[in-house]
Amino acid sequence: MSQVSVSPEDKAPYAGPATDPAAAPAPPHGLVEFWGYFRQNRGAVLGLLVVLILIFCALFADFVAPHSAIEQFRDSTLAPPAWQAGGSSKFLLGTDSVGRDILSRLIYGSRLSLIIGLVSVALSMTAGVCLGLVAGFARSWNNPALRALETVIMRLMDILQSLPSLLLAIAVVAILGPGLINAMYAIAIVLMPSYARLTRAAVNGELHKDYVNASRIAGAGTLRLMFNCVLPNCTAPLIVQATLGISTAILDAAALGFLGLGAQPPTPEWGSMLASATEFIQSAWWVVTFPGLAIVVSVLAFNLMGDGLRDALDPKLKR
Amino acid sequence: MSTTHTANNALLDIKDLRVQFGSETSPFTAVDGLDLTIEQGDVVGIVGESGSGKSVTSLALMGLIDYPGRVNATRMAFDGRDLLKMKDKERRSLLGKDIAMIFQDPMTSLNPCYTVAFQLMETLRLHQGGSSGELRAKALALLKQVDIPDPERRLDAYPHQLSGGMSQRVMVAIAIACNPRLLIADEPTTALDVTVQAQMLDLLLQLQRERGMALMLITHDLSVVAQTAQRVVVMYAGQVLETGLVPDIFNAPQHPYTQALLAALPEHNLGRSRLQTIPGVVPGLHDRPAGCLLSPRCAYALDKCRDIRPDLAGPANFQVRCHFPLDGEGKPGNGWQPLTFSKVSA
Amino acid sequence: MMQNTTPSPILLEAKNLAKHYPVSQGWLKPRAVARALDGVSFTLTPGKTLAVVGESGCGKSTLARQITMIEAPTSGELWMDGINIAHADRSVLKQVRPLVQMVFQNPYASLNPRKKVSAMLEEPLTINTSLSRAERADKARAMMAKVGLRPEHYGRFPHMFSGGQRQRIAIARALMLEPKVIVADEPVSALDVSIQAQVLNLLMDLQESSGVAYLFISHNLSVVEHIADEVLVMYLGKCVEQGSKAELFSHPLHPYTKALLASTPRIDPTQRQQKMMLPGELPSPLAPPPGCAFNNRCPHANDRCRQDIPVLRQFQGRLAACHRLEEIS
Repeated sequence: MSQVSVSPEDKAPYAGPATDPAAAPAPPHGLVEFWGYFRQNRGAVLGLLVVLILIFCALFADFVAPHSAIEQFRDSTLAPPAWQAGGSSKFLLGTDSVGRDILSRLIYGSRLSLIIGLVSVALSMTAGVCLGLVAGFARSWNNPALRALETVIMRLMDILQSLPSLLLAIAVVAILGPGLINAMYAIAIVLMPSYARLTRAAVNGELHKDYVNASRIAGAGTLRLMFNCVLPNCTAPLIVQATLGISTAILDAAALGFLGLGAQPPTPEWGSMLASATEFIQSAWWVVTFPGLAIVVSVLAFNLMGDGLRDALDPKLKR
Repeated sequence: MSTTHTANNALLDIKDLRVQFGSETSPFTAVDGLDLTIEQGDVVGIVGESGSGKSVTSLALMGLIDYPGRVNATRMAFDGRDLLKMKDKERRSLLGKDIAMIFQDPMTSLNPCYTVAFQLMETLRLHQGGSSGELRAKALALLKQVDIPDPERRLDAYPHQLSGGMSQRVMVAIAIACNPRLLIADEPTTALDVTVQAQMLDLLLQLQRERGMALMLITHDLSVVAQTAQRVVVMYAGQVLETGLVPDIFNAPQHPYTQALLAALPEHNLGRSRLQTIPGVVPGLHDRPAGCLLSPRCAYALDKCRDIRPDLAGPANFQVRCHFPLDGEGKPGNGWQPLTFSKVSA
Repeated sequence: MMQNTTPSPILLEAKNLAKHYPVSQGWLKPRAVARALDGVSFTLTPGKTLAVVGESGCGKSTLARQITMIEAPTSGELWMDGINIAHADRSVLKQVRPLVQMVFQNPYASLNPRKKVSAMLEEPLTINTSLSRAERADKARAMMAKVGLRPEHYGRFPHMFSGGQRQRIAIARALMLEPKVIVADEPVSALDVSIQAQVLNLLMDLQESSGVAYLFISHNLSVVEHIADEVLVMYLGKCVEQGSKAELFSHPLHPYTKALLASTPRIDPTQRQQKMMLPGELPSPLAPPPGCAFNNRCPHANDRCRQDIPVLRQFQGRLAACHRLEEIS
């Protein structure tokens, strides 16, 4: 039997080069296309810029900050910011009640905030996505005991979500003890249900599609189906949620710090800076305002960026 | 159906319709110079494959092309009224009443949140008005007209409770509710099973006869057009390639594309082990040839075809866009000479 | 002259395959049973195509899922390579899987949007074989050439391809494990006519060169007339007629087959069969009518049809399930 060489895009006898969509120069790379959409949202780009500045500060705090975060300048306690009467250019944003430079503390504090944000989100996302995958796939399993996992997991998430998140975080920290690491665990637990829900919803949407069956027929087992086949198609809402989760984490960490349950002094965490400064609202406004502003600006930046990500990644909005 | 008609009497008169998307500098022309005339009571089939612009034509006609699409035409008139310059309010009074449309996917064409009765009555209320009781009675009568079994029960059903065929019938009922003069059916049977498709086509023709409606049937299925329409317009990559009357165009197509399309059908290849194919694919955004759009795929293309874009030529209802239209025996005419190289075996 | 006829080996044999789904009707009501597939039997031989024809709801997709081992049938036997895979356990299924592969209907949903062509084609090899990465890549490229894709398509994502090209990728993927049976679920229904012709030719060429058997599911009778060797007509989970293509098309026995043929639109008026308009629609598999499932739409239904379920029997060299075959033909 002669080799059948099939070239169904056969050339007609007099035809020119066969044309087809994929013969044209390859369409723009995914990231390039994504950046094009993202760029159209001015707020999102601004948010991205601020986030980049934060990251820069966090990475290079040692070089950027004028002073150490914990060094106390006893002769310049409660010094006002440089542009006010009594201030000096040595302490651009003033000092706090024990003479520590607020600007340096803010810059070092960005490192902590970002770490808290990223680590908490990473922890909660890992746990939440795994639980969500199991819950989403459980419906399709044969073993009724395993099928019940869906209900168990989702009710657990329901319970976690119905408790006020801050109270839950306080409870976790109360059990584990105060400190930054434990605060991160607490925040991670509080954020977990949203990832589990999102993942399960996305899995439900994708599971009945033919490409999942195609992988099944090729012999893919459950783990491969979960992580290699379905999860990559659920990433868009997860990425957006993660960005917004970072801002929530920063707020929660600040709240915990404010309550004295998170970072302990002298760690320059923005929330605990606020906590120790409440008595100075009237007399030394700068001690309270600047950490507060830092929190607001970073949360806003992450939110704006998350909005832009959602618009850029949402295929329905694609022109 | 008259062969001589003045533009004034035509129900729908479109000349040189052009629909473009994308940027101004490098636009994508979805429809390129379409001429179409429909008389009262005509059944016209618009045939084309994906990317031919047939659906875009109907959307342009109804004013449903959103920004950034741009619709231009020398003339686009319904019953003498200019559709291009029409204000939104005036257009809204026309759509649903005089021009109606049914779409391909019945499952997404009906609003899942509202009952059938609500959606039927909505159309009636907008254009005719009346009390709830009257409207409901009219809705029931409409459902009976489209042969829905058990219409009283179906009135209060939600779309997800209906099968594909029944949803499509409800769509037809909504479309004919106000006695339109023109019904545009965009792939009405593609999503349906073959027996339900036969029922639907039968229903459409029956309604067309009873009400003297004009029917514009848009489809990619040549055999559906052969059984239903009187006139055919063949579109390819946004252009009209051929127009003709139904038995003629299928027995003796004038355009090589029509000929090749007919030859690719399984029913014309019984007894052959391989189907005759049209090589290549429809040109996309980036690879439109300078000359005839079919030239990269046409079995008879010569240099003239590749360089010069042919115009639509011929008497009304017998037009063809080709430098060498096929004669009665299916060979290219107009002085076509084959190139002299060795015959490529099929 | 004695003809040397070696009987073709049977690749796949299905006996009375059935799949029932329990459907909850509400809190207090008992569960209903949807008999999606209710006793279908057939055999597949190398190099031949069995077409399964029917409308939506007839159970052909359910049948596809049973044959490709996505689900296990409720009852019946499915013999492949000497093993009954209908009720086999996971390890046996894993062995048999490479022998049966599938091509899906919707080219836009059957390819993973996040995977490149290379990953999709190599996935079956990664799971089932122990070839090295280079070997897998070679095989993938060879298969791409075989189905008419170009080398530069290797690293692209599905959304960069047209419907016809995606279907070629799907066919290439199905062939990677060199299966003996391919279940093609409406592989050309979503394609334009000219692309449909190309893909059908490809399928036939591949069958000729590799001897693979096709279970070709379709509702388009003109495509079936071209590609099938044998035809099985299904209605509400049961087979109503089964036989060779030539006989079935020239002389259909069952009223449903006749109606399907009559409803198929044809260009050539002389080819069009006598109009036989079927009223109503397929009944719900949850509440099939008593007796013959077709009786509420059949123009020949009599009292016996409304009481007794007809059995598939031999008649004029074919199998058909109808009480009134003798009278009708």
